[in-house]
Amino acid sequence: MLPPDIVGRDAFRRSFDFSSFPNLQEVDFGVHWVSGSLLWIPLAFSTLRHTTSPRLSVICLELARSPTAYRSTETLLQDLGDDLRRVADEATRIEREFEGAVNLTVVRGLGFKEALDTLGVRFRFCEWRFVAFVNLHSIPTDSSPVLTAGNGVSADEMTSLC
Amino acid sequence: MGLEGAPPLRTPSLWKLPQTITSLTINTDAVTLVQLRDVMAHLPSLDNLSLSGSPIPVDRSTLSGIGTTLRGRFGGKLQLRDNCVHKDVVDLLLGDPTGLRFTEVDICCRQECLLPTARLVQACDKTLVKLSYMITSHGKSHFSIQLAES
Repeated sequence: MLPPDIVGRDAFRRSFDFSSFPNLQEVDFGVHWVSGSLLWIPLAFSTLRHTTSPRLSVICLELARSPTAYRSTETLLQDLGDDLRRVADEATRIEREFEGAVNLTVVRGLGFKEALDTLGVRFRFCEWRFVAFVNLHSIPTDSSPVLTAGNGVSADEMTSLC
Repeated sequence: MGLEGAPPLRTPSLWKLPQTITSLTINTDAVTLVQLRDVMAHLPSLDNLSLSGSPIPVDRSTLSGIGTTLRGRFGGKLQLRDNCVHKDVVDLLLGDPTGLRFTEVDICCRQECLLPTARLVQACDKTLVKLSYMITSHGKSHFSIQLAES
């Protein structure tokens, strides 16, 4: 859960509030060339509830950082560590609440693997970008459209990259 | 690339658009939001809307209540790109007196535009099935306009 000082009265003016989306099935978030805060992502995730969005089945998160920013794991963690940790916490909470499997994939490179290792986040890693994929109901074993929808990489391809 | 210096399109109200059009894809580099509104207001069956580019700036006084003449169904996919991810475009859409019922919203912008995007998404809360929100460094697309009938 996000701490009270984060979920303030005005917090959701800076993010999505999914607390009344009964038909929501898929959420894709992407930030290419990461800079600035990623707090809006866990804020939005924190509003995804089984009671209010029971049909939710897919969350795809894709992050790629700038080649000129965050040259070290330390600087990346310094700027984004809290946000990434909150993303992971919310993903864990969602997995538990929806009683499904969570499949998170992190593409190796540019410090994200090391940063998330440091945070103790259980992701799979691939080569040049960061992709976190959450399947709330099941982990597909084939090249299903669900897996390709968010990142253009099939389940088999993703596994082979990791 | 935009069409800077090119004359704006002639008034869309003069166009004879089929009432059965369900999808509109337009690069807004050569139109104002008022002209865009006029096109959309002629399409009562409009379900899917894709906007990209940068609308020609206009006197802001002309934007007040700009969306009140819209009458599309807006029950399909909404795609916004480039500078169309903007408060004025969102206000145009939210002005539709019958409300928005998009089932899919796909936003791609070059810098964080959470506030207008969140308002837009919230307006579709009962119907939205899929949301894609992407912040990228992609450039602008070329001028184009497409119409589709069901």
